[in-house]
Amino acid sequence: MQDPYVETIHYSELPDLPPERVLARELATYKREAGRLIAEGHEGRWVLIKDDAVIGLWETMKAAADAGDRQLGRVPFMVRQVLTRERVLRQRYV
Amino acid sequence: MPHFTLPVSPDGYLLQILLGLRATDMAALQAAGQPIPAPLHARALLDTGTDRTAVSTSLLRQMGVLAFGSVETHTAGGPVTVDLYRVSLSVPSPAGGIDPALAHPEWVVTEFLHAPPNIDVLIGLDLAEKWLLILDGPGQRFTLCF
Repeated sequence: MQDPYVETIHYSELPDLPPERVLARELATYKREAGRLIAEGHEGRWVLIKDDAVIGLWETMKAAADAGDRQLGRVPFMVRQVLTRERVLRQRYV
Repeated sequence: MPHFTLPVSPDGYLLQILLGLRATDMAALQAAGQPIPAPLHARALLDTGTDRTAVSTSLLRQMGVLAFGSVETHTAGGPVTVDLYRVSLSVPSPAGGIDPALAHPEWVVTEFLHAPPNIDVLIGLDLAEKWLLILDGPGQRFTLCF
């Protein structure tokens, strides 16, 4: 059961990033693909995305990120857990 | 249990930490014939209102680390999307040296947007929950046990 005190957001409601942000395309790709990945039973797994392409899925963040290092080299890419609702982290320093 | 005690500063519960590149990043730079930046000393504030340790954008740029994800955060200024980075992070003892328990060759941090000039890093619960912290308010000091 979801903790009512933990703020979450549905994947379809993730705000788009401005085009100048480094992972703007990858986030758009994730939002486009997340529904299909969840429907195919991949919820909870970690997806690796570069530009408009889903590279693959892994069981842990580290495995997906290491695969990105190996397959893509030292470039920005996106690793994200496939979730219907993901947690919003707190960063409360004023 | 190993520990050290630090004074409480006017800015709060502050620690000096060391930030550097991961071994994978260093190997990639070396292979490309590029210089490897030295680890950076940073002023880090223990912040129990922060879930994941956050590093100022300017330090991340200095280090040349690359984003590998993003996450939604709720800040005092409202919701904001921040990027995720992988760095090496360690907490040196005030007496010198780094205990292996306080050295993390690969740690995932978020970007700390709008960091004030006196604080480079927010130490979040992801790191703080690995330690036993004793906050001595009347004595104006705190002890970090690990």
